[in-house]
Amino acid sequence: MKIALVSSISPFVYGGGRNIVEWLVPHLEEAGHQVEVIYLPFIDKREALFPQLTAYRTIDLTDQVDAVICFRPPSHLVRHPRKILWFIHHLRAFYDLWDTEYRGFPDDAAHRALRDAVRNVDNVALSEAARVFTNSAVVSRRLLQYNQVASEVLYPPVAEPERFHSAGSNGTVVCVARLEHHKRQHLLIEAMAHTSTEVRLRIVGTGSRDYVQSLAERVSELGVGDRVAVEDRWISEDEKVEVLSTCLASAYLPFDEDSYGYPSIEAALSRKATLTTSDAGGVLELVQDGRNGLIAEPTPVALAAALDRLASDQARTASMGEAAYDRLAELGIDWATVVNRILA
Amino acid sequence: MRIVFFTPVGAGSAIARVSVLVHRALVEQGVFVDVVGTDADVNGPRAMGFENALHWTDEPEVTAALEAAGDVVHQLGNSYFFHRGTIEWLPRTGGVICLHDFFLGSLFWEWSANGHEVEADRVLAEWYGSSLGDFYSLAASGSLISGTWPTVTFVEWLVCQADGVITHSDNHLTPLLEGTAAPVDVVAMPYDFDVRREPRGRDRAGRMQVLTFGAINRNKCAAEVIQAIGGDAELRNAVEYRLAGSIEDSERSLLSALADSNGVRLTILGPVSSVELANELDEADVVACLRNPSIEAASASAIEAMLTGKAVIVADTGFYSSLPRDSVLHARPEDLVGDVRRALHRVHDEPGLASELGERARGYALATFRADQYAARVVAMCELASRNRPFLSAVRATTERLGAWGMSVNSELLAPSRTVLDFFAIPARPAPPPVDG
Amino acid sequence: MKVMVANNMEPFVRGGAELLADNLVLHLREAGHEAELLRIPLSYRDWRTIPAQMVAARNFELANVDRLIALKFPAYLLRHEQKVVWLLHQYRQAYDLFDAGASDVPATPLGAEFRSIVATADSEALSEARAVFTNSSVTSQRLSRYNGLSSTVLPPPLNDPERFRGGDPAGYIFAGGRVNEMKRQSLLIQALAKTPSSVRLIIAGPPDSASTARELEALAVRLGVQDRVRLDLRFLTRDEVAELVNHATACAYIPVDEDSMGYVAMEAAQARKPIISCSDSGGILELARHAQTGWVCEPSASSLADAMTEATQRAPLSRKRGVAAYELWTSLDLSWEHTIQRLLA
Repeated sequence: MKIALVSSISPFVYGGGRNIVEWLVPHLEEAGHQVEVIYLPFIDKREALFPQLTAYRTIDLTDQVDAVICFRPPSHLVRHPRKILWFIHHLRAFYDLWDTEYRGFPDDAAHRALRDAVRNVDNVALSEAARVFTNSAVVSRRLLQYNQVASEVLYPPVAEPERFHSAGSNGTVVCVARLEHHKRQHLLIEAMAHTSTEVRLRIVGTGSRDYVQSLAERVSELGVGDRVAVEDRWISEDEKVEVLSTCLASAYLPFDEDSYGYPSIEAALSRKATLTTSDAGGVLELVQDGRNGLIAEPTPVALAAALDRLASDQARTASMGEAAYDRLAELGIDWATVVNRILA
Repeated sequence: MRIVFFTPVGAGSAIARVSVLVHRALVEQGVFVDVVGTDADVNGPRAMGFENALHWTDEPEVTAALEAAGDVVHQLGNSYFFHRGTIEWLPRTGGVICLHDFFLGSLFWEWSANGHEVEADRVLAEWYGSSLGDFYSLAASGSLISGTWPTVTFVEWLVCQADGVITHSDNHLTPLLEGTAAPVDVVAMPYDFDVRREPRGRDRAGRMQVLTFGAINRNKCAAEVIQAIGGDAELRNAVEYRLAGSIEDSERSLLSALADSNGVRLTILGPVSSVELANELDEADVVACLRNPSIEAASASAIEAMLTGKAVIVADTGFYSSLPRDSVLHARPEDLVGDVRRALHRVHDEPGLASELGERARGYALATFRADQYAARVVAMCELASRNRPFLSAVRATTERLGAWGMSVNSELLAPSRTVLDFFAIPARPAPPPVDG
Repeated sequence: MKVMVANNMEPFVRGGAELLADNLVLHLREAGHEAELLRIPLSYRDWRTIPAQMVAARNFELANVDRLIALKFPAYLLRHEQKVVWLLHQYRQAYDLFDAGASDVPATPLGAEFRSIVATADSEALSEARAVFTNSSVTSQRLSRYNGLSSTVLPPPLNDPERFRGGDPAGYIFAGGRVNEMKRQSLLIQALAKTPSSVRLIIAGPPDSASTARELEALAVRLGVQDRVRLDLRFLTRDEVAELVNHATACAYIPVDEDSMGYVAMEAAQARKPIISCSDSGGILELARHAQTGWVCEPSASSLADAMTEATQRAPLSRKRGVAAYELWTSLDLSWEHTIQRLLA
């Protein structure tokens, strides 16, 4: 089949939104399909919203490909009789963030009109789709609640999962993720001031200068520099595999994220347990407390207790890591499942 | 809900009197309304109820009102004198247009002649493939309406700026529907009856007063009424025909001469105040409310006359055809003089007929032309318009862009863009149930 | 700089413009910039849908981009403060192809309205640009004639000049590039039939259709030259093409009214091979200069036959003209480095 993968992008911004598209390509090709990736620019700017939506709607791929898979909004507006959505998120300001401080514009008649118009547009576009998949139960719930659309959760795997492996434990809990406030590496550092075991913490990633600086300052203020390493640098894929392979466990505790995030999967593929918090959102679709990881209250003291648990019973931690690996199979987080389901 | 309500507020405007009622009904329904007078003359006497309205020239106050309000409504009719403010503000405000006339040629003409010739020329080219020169020739020849209506209506250049349109009859909807992508609703025009004014019995034995009121021009068919009376000896004796409202000198001379030569008793009052008009209506036995052609969506005059419980004669065309035959007398446009004569003769001959017709007309008008129902539909249209605004802005932006590249408004090449844009139109919710009471 | 290159795309269609766009991005990155390719699905299938697509191009928003380089209609309608157009294609069906009676756009009032819309939009979009470059003088001339706009010719460089090192001639004339009617490989075969038996021809390149390939084969047989012409009608790898060019005696490239200089001619010149072309070949004549860098013939079998014979039989002459072709080519200083400097100036 000839398949087009269509998604919106921000120029020169790479990462999750594009990975899900690009990692799918070789697997579809392996299954015998011809794949074309179509990226269209999009900026989440209120005044320019409708004109961009009409531009997307103008795109008609009928008779040019056999199927279209759409990812990030508003790519789901393009026209094709066999449109499959792997719906990764709404334009959230008009949905679940409407009644929050994150809306970004006033709740007046003009913006309500825009909100209603966006929801109307989404409803129609969603109803045109042959299949609707999402990347997490959180997004599926929102589709049902706001658009009355049922969808199937199709968890996105990482590229070349076979790279990851386990090579024992060095007693260090690692957090390999972007260094940003809502990823909450600062909570982990706070926690390290309350631990009582020899557990060590290693934080690796790139991020905003202000946040990174605040992390370094906190380490210093708390005097935990002997057990905590903060490495503000980009890490290669190979090095990430290596770092995960030797860690005690992985920590990933973003605030209320839609999906579980690649760090959770990478840890599970490396047969490592994940430490997270009760308010992390999508991570909790993967992590089950005491079974394949630990879920703590989002406080330094609770996290410290969890860190200590991981360190003090290493055998238990290792077997939780094995269970984390098995969990992936349970949830069908693999490329074969994706290829089978998405074109079913 | 908060609305900025653009309307004539001058005492001479029938639409202003309608607006007073709509305004009252909106307020009763809990809507906050800022009224902005659209009359060209800022200093003229105002209709009762609008003494404190803003004027369209009060730029800062109007702007402030617009910023505070969520919705805008424009009352629009075929007169630059009454609706100048709407033309000035509509491009900025958009909003819901309550369209009172299906023909806006006079409005267009006066607007053009008041310093907008370049824009008028462009409108003519874009919408009608014509030019200002052609238009002025036609207007000067006195055959503006007959030379254009119903093919060319001059409605499109304004309604294309609306987010919603309410009109009062479905007789000439096609150009309207072609001129705008906005939702269009047909609602019976509102009117209320001043409860203090009970209809008085007529007892002027043998004598009959016939009244025509409003701006007395060709379209009001006063000449046909004079000829109708003049062709019947009994009517010549019995009838006094009175004309109340502004009148051009040329028309005054023409009608006076016609009355003289036909032996008809004619009194031309010229412009009258609201009180004087109320008295005239009181004293009249029959109201001749003829229009040919009928360009209004609905007639405030006819409704007013019906609400006073008078026998009303109308031309059997347009909005007037929808008025019930057992309550209102209809005269066919192809034989206006003859039918008017026969109608007046009937009223003269049958003693109780006038009050019987008047009673039924009043009942019909009270049931149909209700301000509370109208206000509810205005509110519903404002909501629909508001929800459609993003879509309509997109439509406008697209047609402007293509227009700037040289595409004509009716081009076939617009079709693929229309298909794309139609996807974004918000489906209308069903109209709200009628208001009780 | 963050440079976005904008092109149209049709799924699974890849031609010279796509190759150029990829190479532009590659070389931008090599020059130290961040570069990304935007490929907007824009379909010419039904000309009546084009105005809507033009509006769409105008409505896209490009944030976080320092410089936009747009290559084709309607991609160059995209809005950006720092837009540079490297014009490979206007919508020729609205211009010269219409005049030549070879357009989808009909000669009706609607067609005229459409062509006027395209011309107006083109003028607007191209005037907005910081600079307008074109890929050839032919493209520039058309832009001037139809839109009254001036532009600078910036021919696309060779993507892999290092492959075309040249080498000892093995005695054949090489005709590379796409194989179709416009490129007139059949005329070369007809010319071959008028040459002595020492003249040999290799035609190698992707045919537009299977029937094109069959017709050429049949022609060779019909004219009795099948033993002197090798037909290798498929996509060749760059190494295969280079091999054939590097050991040719001369390179023949005789398309009808080509827009640009032609990669085939550029590769020949890079490899120090003389070029055989025709007087009506358009942009090729910027490199193919008669008696200087090769032979420019009448578009007839006999004229071409004379050139092919002379090239084969007079090796020193061929070599000399090949060197001259190389010198002319390098004097144009068409490198990616230089090109990018011009585009980002």
